[in-house]
Amino acid sequence: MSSRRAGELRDPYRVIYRWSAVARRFTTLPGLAHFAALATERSRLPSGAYSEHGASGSGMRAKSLKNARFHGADQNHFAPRHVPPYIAVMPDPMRSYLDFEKPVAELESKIDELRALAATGSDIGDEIARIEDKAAQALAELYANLTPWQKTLVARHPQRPHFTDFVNGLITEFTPLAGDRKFADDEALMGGFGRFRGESICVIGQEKGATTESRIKHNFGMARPEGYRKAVRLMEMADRFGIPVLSIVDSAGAYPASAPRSAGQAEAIARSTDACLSLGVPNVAIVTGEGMSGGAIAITTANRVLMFEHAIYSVISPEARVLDPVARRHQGPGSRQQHEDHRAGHAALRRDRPASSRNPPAALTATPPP
Amino acid sequence: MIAATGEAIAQAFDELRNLDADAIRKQRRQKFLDIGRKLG
Repeated sequence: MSSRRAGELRDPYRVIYRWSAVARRFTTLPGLAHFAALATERSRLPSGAYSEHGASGSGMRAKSLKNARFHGADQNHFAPRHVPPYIAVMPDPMRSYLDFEKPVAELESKIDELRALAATGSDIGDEIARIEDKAAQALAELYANLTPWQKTLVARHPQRPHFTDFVNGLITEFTPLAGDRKFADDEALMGGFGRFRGESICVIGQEKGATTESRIKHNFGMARPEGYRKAVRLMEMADRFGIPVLSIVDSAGAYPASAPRSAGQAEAIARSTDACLSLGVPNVAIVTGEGMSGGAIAITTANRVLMFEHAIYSVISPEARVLDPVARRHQGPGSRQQHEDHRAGHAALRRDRPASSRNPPAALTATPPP
Repeated sequence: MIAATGEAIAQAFDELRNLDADAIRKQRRQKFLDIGRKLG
């Protein structure tokens, strides 16, 4: 048995302290929180308070615990006690920052600390205002000079509003419709009818989800063929009843797995694009995050295409672009230059060939026999 | 932000309000053909 394990057996509080480190991270359970607080306090006792007598001194241990007079020694240890939650030390647990936003995150963390200090009565309002201005300026400078990849990250920010947020904020009496009437429903591409400023409207769009569960449920906004068939069904219904169509686009593309591809992904996208082009009612599309590839164009072929400031709309996602053999021609082995040299070589060969070899054989050009 | 988005969407629909079905289709078709002809 290792000495560490033996030590734990001799002193169960050592085990409790080890587990309290875990418990402190999950203080949402009141029992765990109390347990963590108790174990932490005991661990702060002077070492002689209860360990000098070893494993056999259980009676002495109680005596030494009493002598130590640690905080709460004469109280009920199992009574609920306030423990500051783990997330209380974070500046804003609901806000997530991108890597390049670190300077702004640090400033906002400082602002939160100062606000907490101000709540206790300190007069630091001017200092808070000064740092708030500094944070706002840093954020503006940061977003004025975004690189293409940073812009992509912003377009994919997990806290951007999604389809459901726009529907909740803009559409009243929304009635979602499900299923393509052929195979299944696709939660990645949602749609239905409702009222926008009092008038009937058909809304379709990709939903990425806001939590891990909902992201899995909505397949991260990557639609399958049944999703595009559902979009076609809704657009045809809207056209039949003369209802305008609003598309809310936020997708990294159609789901690229082999099963949807063999189930007719390309055809479904093409039919959805065709349905968009055939609509006899006004169609407005808005790219709220990323509009990538056929997954987006299937519902974005509209009369008006609007985009958010930090949204991206591209023929293909940046990751797929890196894997694209056409893009690879621009650099490295097999580059475009090499490709063009190769073509130039072929052209030179054709040019240098004798004229007789360029012309088809006489037998082929001869007039057919009567 | 969502309210501003609603304003932009309403404005876009207002621009298309007085067009009939054929005009809407023609305008949409022309818009996408122009992408290939002018930007390509």
